[in-house]
Amino acid sequence: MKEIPIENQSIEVHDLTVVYDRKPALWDIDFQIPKGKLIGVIGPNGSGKSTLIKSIMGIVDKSSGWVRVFGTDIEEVRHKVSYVPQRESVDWDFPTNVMDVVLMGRYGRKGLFSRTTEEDKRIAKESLEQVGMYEFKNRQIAQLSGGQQQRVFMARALAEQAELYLMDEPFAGVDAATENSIFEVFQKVRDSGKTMLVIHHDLQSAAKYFDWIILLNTHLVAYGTIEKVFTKEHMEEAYGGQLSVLSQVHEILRQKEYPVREK
Amino acid sequence: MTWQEFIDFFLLRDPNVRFVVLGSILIGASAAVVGCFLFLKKRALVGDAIAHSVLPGVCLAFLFFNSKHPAVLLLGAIATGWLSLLLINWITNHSKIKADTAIGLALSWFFGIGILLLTAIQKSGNAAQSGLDKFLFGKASSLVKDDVLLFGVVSVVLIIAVMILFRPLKVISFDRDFAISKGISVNTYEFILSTLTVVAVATGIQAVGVVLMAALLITPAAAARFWTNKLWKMVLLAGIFGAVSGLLGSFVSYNIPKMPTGPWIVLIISMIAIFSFLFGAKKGLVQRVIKQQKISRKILSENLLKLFYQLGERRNSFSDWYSIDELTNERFFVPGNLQMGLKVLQRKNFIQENEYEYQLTNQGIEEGKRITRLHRLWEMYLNQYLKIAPDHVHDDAEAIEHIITPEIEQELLELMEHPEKDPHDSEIPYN
Repeated sequence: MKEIPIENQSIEVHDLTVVYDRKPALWDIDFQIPKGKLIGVIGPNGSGKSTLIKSIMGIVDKSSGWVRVFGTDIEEVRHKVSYVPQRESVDWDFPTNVMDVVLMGRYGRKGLFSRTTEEDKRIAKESLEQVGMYEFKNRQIAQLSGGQQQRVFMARALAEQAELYLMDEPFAGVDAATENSIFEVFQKVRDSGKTMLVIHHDLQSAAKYFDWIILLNTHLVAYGTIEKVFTKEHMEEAYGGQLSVLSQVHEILRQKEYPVREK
Repeated sequence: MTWQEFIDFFLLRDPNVRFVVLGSILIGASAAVVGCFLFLKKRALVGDAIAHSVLPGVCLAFLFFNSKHPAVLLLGAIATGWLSLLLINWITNHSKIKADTAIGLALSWFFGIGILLLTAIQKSGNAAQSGLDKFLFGKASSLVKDDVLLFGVVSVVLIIAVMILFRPLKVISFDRDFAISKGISVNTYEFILSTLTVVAVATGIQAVGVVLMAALLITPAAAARFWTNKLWKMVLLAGIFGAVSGLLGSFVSYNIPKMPTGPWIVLIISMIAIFSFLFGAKKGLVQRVIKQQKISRKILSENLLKLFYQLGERRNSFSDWYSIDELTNERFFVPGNLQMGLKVLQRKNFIQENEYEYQLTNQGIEEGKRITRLHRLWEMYLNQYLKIAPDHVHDDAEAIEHIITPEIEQELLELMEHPEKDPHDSEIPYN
């Protein structure tokens, strides 16, 4: 793959390895992605998709390698990056309402201790309108359906007014009609020059919606345009379970308590 | 006690009473306010572990300084409370032992050592030790001016700290990963929350005792959750519940000094919690039962109305009078339900009664028509769009007819272009 000049890069991942409980979740990942694209992260269960996004955000520790966002360390550009965790990662019984959650999207920009201004409220309102949830603004979050919860998270991300969005399975538990309308929002965001990295599980709709694909199966199988990535060989490599030697080696590492990386 | 003593207590005439009451209220409120975030982070058991773990600290501080000054004992308590917290985190991070086991281990180790030290001190013949046993189950009436000055100030500081840190605590409790992604130093705030918890426990043990201190941290939060869906209201309410249990606990303790205070405070806060569980406005048990009853009454009366309407359809006249027997012959009703349903319909002016016979009013005809229409529209929809056989659609429609909103009705009508007949060839009644 041709190098993307640094000023056009949104993310550069270099030799990234992440280990959970002595088992590699990501193994030697290398890629660069350009700005202004809608990018799908695809792969079977347990292929490290969430781990990839979390390590880009610095939420999990890297065992080796590094990540650059907009050509620099993530700590420098957090205000330009929005992260949407998996819906199941939070307790939706938490005592708060839709508007409150969306306003959390403003904390990153202005710090935790500044007052909520009229402008914040306006931005939160517009974000909710974009995902069609404004009429639910006073709803207790426990009373939302799964798809509505996803859209609230989406609105919180939009309220951050970021340049780069990392979304972990925003379509889990979402019906087809909602999926379509959310993708339209994504495409609008992309068309305004922002970059979106979206974990997705459905190959068919992935081919329809994304400009670029990152295909993962613990290691990086392929990345690039749809035509380049969606080939029979790549699919077999990602989903065919042919890498049994690699997983056997991983298992031995874990059982014998050897380090995955020598330090 | 006499009435006069009762009044004297609550009018705070005795300066000693004033200290005890004020101290207990502040301790109760601050523990409850801090405890809300433990509750929301699902770390309630950690609170219990900390509470038990402060006992060896109190004993060691006494042995070391040979003093029962509240500041000395407070620092001792904070030290071992913190140590147990570190131990729990260390075990969970560095071994295969899970958090619940680590909490259990830390709690029993520290408490065991605490009891050991306490027994040794009591048997040592040191005259100054008398009263240390109150740290087990608490004795609010033993609070004196010095204690209250210290504990009161610390409690106020705790409450102010929670108020200032309200937003970060809220964000890290709701969505930890998101907080990290925004560069919020989650570790720092979690460290602060842990410290607040340890300090809240340490200030409370003299009045409540280490064994039951966790109840004052967690129960008010759990009770408050039943009354509100807003976090700040929940914290405020928990604080009030904590204060009330502190107040009443100190009242009991003052009047029955032989009794430990901890169990009384637990009793009071548990009663508040049980009351909230039953009658809470949000998710309270009684509230839910009442709601269910309302729903079943609505279903019953709508079914009855539909029966009247369909009888009218069959006879081609909606002005006939029906007796109870005629109605029960048409459809099964649980004994008593029919009479109740008739009463509801009468009250809503959908039917009228004359000599134990009943007739639809004009309003009732319209409403009966509407429900019949919804029933048949839904049958049609199931048959046409979900390809369900005509003899399988009835039960579904029986349930759904009660919840179809006018908007959905409109959608169904547009979708199926105002169908004339349902799958059983009955006419769908319009106006």
